[in-house]
Amino acid sequence: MVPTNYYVILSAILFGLGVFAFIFKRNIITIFMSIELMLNAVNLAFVAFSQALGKLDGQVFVLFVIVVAASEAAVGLGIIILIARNRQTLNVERVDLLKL
Amino acid sequence: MRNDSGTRRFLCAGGTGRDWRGQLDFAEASAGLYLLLGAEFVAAVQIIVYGGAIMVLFVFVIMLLNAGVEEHTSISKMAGAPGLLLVVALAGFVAATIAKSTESVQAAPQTGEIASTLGISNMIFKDFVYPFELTSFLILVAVLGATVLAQREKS
Repeated sequence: MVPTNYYVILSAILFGLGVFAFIFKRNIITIFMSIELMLNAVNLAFVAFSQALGKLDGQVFVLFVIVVAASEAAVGLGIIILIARNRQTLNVERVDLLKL
Repeated sequence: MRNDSGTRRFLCAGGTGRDWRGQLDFAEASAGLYLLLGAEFVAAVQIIVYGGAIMVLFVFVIMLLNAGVEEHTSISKMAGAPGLLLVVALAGFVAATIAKSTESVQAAPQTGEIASTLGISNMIFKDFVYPFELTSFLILVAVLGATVLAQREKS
């Protein structure tokens, strides 16, 4: 039986890596992947606490989070394709239409 | 072991621009962790949705867009220091929270076997039935949005 602490620590590490990649990377696909990584980290924490507390609410919530992640991936990748088609780049610094 | 290599490859992915498989590995690995935690249904959903749908979308987009090595400008290098500070602050906050709540988490009693999938279906279709229906609406909106975004512009 693995202690719940280990799962929570792994989840925190993964979330930190997601934030790290989100801030440091300039490729829009990598940034998008790091968002998915953060969602996965939160899911892991949800399931770990659900098991630790003996309640299923966390698992149900994970299902909702997965649904949101899936629809986010569909729309977000559509936006990425549109950006790449209009700007011929994946670098987020080149996408500065709203900057003054 | 598998999880470790997946995470490492995920980190390397942006650097080389060649190895993008890390996140697919991670999706499978976290499904294994869910199995270890006794959440069979969530593990199955994770494999089907992440391995079957989301990662295929990612791989297709990467194939279409031909992602190469990412480039850094002087401003993006300058932004590294405050970004690192922010990440360290977040990690410290999370570590402090975990350290503070360690005992209560460990002290939770182990409540034998719970019928995981049956309980989840009961909760989704009884307690959370309105959020569940709203979820289907969200998916409809996402499908419509993706279709509209991806269609060729008339010119």
